[in-house]
Amino acid sequence: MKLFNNSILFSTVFIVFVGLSNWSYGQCTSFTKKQGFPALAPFIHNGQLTSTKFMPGDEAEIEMTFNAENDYRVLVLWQEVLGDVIFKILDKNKKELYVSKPGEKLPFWDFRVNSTQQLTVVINVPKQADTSTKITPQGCVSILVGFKPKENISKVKMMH
Amino acid sequence: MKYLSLFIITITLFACGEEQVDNNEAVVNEANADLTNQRIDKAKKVFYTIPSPYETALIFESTGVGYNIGLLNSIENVGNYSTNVQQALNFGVYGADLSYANIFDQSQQCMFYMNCAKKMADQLGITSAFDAATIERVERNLNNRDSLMNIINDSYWISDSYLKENQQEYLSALVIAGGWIEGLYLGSATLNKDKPSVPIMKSIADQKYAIESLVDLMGLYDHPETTKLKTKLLVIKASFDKIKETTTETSVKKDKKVAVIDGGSSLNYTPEVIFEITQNIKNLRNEIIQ
Repeated sequence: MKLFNNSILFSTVFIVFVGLSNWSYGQCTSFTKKQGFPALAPFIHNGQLTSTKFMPGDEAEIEMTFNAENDYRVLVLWQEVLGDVIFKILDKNKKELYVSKPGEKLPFWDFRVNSTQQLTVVINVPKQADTSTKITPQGCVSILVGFKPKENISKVKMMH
Repeated sequence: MKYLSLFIITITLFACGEEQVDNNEAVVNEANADLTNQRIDKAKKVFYTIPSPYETALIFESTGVGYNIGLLNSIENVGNYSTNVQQALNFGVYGADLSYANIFDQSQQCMFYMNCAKKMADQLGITSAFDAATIERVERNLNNRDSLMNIINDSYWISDSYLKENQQEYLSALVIAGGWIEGLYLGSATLNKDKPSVPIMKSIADQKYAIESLVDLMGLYDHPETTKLKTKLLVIKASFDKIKETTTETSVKKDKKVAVIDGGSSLNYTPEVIFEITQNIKNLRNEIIQ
């Protein structure tokens, strides 16, 4: 967000900004629940939801651990205002294992790791041309991970 | 001018996926500094994630770890936690216990541990996390493990949001730490030194990645309590550092439905290292629940 020299104007902008920030926070959650979770099925959500506001030109890296022999779905969703967001999955040596296609809505990748791996999910939000209003658009980006655990090898045992 | 913003989003919530959309809840844990006045050109955000207690419990369940009620933090301890730091850590601990009991379909224990979590949340001022409507929903869904997990999710999300909105992010980090420590304790405590289970040892070793993220998370907050916990976690990390990681080139091949990633990292360790980790986790966990 640009800084304004005029303090009054700055205060006004700040108040508007705080309001927007709160609104966006709730909106991100609601947006993720409505659009993200249905696309995750039949995988089980892992309980983690990485979600925050992005601006054009932003890039994020999220390191995630994927356990051996589970099947995973990594799903990324974002608000349209951000344009064609691209997400990639890299191995530890930064080798690209998956890259989403431009224009793809709700891209996801289903995969399995033969041994437990720490992979990096990279989010790239495209830059946008400056507008006459000087207002930088913001939108939510969420990353969801679902998994299917491998078959349990034992029944529940009670030990007192 | 470019600069690097370090963000951590870690969510300690527990979820289950077989519910319908409206019941799917999650925890959003944002360290959201994206609107600082310093944003000039471009920010690169770096996130670290720590496995939720739910995921950790499922991993250990799949290794054959059984339900052992004696391992859980006693519900009688709930009155012992008088500082907000103790309450935050044990809010995480009780959340992990709740998750563990739920995975093993221990509905009565779930109710007990839900009440412990509620007490911790209330004492932290998060009265909305386990309000009357939530408790009623819990009672209605006691025998539905997936629904119950979603309700728990929702409550922890509310808690997380509350702490962040009230400039108590360090407490949110402590809740996450408490949950991870308890989850690993529950998974590792049954390891038999005379006849150690290979799958359990492997699952413990795999937490090497999580401890690194957790240490980084603690380092984000300029608060004496997170600094103190970080120092203790570094002791555990030192044990995990004895696990050697070797990396080979990854390859992706297509299976029937999913891509399969071969190669990458593999961990090499001795049972003694795993025993050391187990003991260190036990020590820290017992210190937390005192």
